Amino acid sequence: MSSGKSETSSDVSRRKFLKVGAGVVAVAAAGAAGYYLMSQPPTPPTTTTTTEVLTPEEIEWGIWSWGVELVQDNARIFNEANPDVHVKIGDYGLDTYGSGVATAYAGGKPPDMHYSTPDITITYQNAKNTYDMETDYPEIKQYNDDIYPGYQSGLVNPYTGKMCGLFYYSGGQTFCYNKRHLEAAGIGDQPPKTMDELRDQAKKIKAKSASDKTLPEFPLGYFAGSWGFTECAVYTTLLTLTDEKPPFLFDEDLKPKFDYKGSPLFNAIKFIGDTIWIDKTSTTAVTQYDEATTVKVMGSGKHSYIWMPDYELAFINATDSKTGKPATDEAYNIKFAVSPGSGRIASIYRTYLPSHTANDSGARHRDAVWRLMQFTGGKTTNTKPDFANGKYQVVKRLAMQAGLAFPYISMWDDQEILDSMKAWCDPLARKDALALAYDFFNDPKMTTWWDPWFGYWLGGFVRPKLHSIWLGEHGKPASDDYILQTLNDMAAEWTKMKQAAGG
Amino acid sequence: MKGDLKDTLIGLLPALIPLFLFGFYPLGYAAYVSLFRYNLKYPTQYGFIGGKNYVDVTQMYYFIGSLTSSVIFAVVAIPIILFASLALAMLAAREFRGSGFLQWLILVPWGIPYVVAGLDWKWLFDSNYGLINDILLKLGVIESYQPWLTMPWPAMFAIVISFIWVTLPLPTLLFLAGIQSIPQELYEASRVDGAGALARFRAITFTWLKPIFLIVVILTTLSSIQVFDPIYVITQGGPADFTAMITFYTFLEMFNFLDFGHASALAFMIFIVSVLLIFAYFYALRMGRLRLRA
Repeated sequence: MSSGKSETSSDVSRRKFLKVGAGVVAVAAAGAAGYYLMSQPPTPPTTTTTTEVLTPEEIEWGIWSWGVELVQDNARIFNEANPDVHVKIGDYGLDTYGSGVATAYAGGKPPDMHYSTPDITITYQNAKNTYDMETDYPEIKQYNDDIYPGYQSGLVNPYTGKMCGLFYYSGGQTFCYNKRHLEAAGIGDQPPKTMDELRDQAKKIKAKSASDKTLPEFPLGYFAGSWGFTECAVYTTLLTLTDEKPPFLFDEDLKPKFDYKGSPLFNAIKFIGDTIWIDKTSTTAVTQYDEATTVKVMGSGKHSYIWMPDYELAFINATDSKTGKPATDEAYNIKFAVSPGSGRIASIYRTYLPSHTANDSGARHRDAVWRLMQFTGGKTTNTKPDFANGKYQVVKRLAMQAGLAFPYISMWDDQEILDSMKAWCDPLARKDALALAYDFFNDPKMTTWWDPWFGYWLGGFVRPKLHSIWLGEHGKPASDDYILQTLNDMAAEWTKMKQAAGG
Repeated sequence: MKGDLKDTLIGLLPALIPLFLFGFYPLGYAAYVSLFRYNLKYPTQYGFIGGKNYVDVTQMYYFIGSLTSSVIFAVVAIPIILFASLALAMLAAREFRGSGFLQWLILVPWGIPYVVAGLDWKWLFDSNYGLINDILLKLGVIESYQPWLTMPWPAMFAIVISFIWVTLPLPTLLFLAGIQSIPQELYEASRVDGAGALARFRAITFTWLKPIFLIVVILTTLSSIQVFDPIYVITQGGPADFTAMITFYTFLEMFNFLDFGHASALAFMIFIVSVLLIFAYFYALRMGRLRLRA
C-alpha cells in the first residue's frame, strides 16, 4: 500500500503531462490542417450526381421440408437474376408445418410468402393476417383463365372475394387400376366405367385370386388413413357416386345438408363399408394407409384399384436407378383412368400464400414478393413476370423433376412436360382424370373449424367415426340407421363448432 | 450461516437457472395460458376466461374416450411391467453362467428412444409385411395376414408392448438392487425353519421389496399417463380413436387445432395428477429408507 501523499503528487504530475500533451497535439493538428487547406488549388463548383445503391429487398419464403434442395436452387436462380431482391428460405418442418407457421404469425413475423393448405389458409384469412395479391396486382386474375374450374376457388379469399396467390401444386385423388390384374382375371384391359361395374370387377378378381395367387384377395383399396386423405377417400367416393350438383355437405349458410338416408355422404360411407363387409373386396387395413403405405401396397399388387394422389404413381411405375430393374413388383402395370361413376374426383392443392408482411413494408417489398410468386407459381421469362409470353418455370420444373401435377391448362400443351411423364404414366389419361377434379375444400367454402371437425391431419370428430363404421365396430356392415345416427352426430358437432367460432 | 446459504445458492445456480427457465417458467406460463381463450385460429378473441377452458375440455367430444384409453393403457401396462421386471430381476440376481450378459441385455432397450421403438413395433405389426403376421401364419395360428393395428385391442397391445420394452429396464434395476440388498441370512434361517420357495418369496422377498413395488408402480404410472410417442408413431390414435389417450389430444389441441388454452388446460390437468403421484413417490421413498434403516 502506498501513502496518500505520494498518490496525490503522482496524479497531479500525470494530469499536467496529459494537458500539455493534448495542447501540443491540438496546435499541431490545427497547423497542419491550415497548411493543407492553404496549399490546395481552388476547385471549380461542380454538379454532383449521387447514385442511390439500394440494398436487396429481403423476402422470406416459408416452405415445408419437402424437396428443400430443389427449392433452394429455385431461390438461387431467382436471386441471381434479381440482384435487387434476396429470397431467404424458411423451413418450417413437415409434421409441424401448420403449428410452425401459426407460431410465426402469432409472433408477428410470418414469412412473406409461404406454402399453404386450405385449412391453414382460412385461418389466416379469417384473422386478416394475409394479403390478397389482387388488391394491388389485378393482373393476377389473368391466371384464372388458365386454371381448371375445380381449382379456381382454391385461390380466392372467401372473406374478400379476391385472389390471394397462385398454385404451388394441384393434383387430385386420381383413379388408378392394375392392368395386369384385370387381364389375368379375364376382365380385359378396360377399367370400369360405373361404380357398379367396379364392384363387379373387384368381385371377379377376388374370386379368381383363390386359384391365381398373383391376384389380390382385396382388389379394392381406399386411401383412407392419415394425413388428410380420409376425407379425400370419402369425398372422392361421394363424388363418383352422385350426379347431383355441388355443394354436397353444407348449404350456402354452412348448415349441414348431409344428414339423411340416401344423401351423397351417406351413400359414400355405406359404399366403402359394403365393399369391406359384404363384398369382402376391400379390407379394414385401408384405415391405416398413409402415403408410403399406399405406394407399397399398390406397388406390391395388394389391390387392383385405388384413388390416390396422382404423383404417387411416379414412385410405383419407376425403375431402380442402381439395379436398372423395376422399383416395384407391379411397376408399369398401374394406370390412370377417369374415375368410374361421375368421373369427378377430389382435388388436392397447395398454394403460395402471401402474409401481411408482404404488404407491410411498402411497395418495393410487395413488388418483390409478387415477382417471386410469379416465378414460383406463375409465368415468367428469365424469372421476370411475363404472363403473355412467359412459361411456368418452377411449376414446370416440379412437374418434370418431381412428377407434381398442375392446374394450368396450357401446360398440358407443353410437349416437354408430357414427354417427362411418359416414363410413368399416360399423360392424357392423367389430364382427363384431373380435369374433372372438384374442390371439396370449398364445399361451398372452407371454414376455420373444418379441420378440428373432420380431423384433417389427425384425430378430429368425423375421422374416428367413419373409421369406426368401416372397422365393423357397429355391425358388419353398419346398419343404415347407425350411419344416419353418425351423420346426425356429425351435423350436431358441426353446428356446435360453428357457434363456438362465432358463425 | 448466511455466507453458507449464499455459497450454496451460488453453487446451485447452474442447476436452478435451467430448472426455472425450462421447468417452472413454462409450467407457470401453461397455467396462466389455461385461463385465457387463446386459439391461434381466432387470435382476435384472445382474453381472460377463468376456468372455462377446464370446463370446456371436459365437455369436448374426445375427453371421456381419451381418458378411458389412458386408464385402459395404464391398467394393462402397469401390472405387466411390475411382474415382468420383478421376474427379470429375480432371474438376473441369480448367479449362473451368462447372468452378466443377461443383466446387460435387460438394460439395452433403455437406450432406445420411444419413437424408434414405436417404429420397430409398427413394422412388426404391419398388416402386409409384419413379422408377427409371418410367424403366426407359419405357426398356423392365422389363415391370412391380419390388419392388427385396425383392431382395438391388438392396437392397444402394440402400444403397450412398445412402451414396456423401453420402460422395463428401470424397474428391473430397482428390483435387482432391492433383491441384492436382502440379507442372505434371512433366506438361510427360513430354510432351516423349513419354509418353501413360495413362503420364502412371500415372507422375505415380497415383504422386503414392498416399498420398491410402490416406487415402481408410481414411476410406471407417471410414465404411462405421459405416454405419447408410441401412440403418435404406431396408431396415430386409431383405430377409431381407441388409442387416442389424453396426451394425444393435448398434442392435437396444441399443434393441430392450435387451441393453446385447451391444450394448456389439459396439460395442467395431467400435471396435477403427476404431482399427486410424485408426492406418493416421495412417501414411498421415505418408506423405503425406513425399511433399509430397520
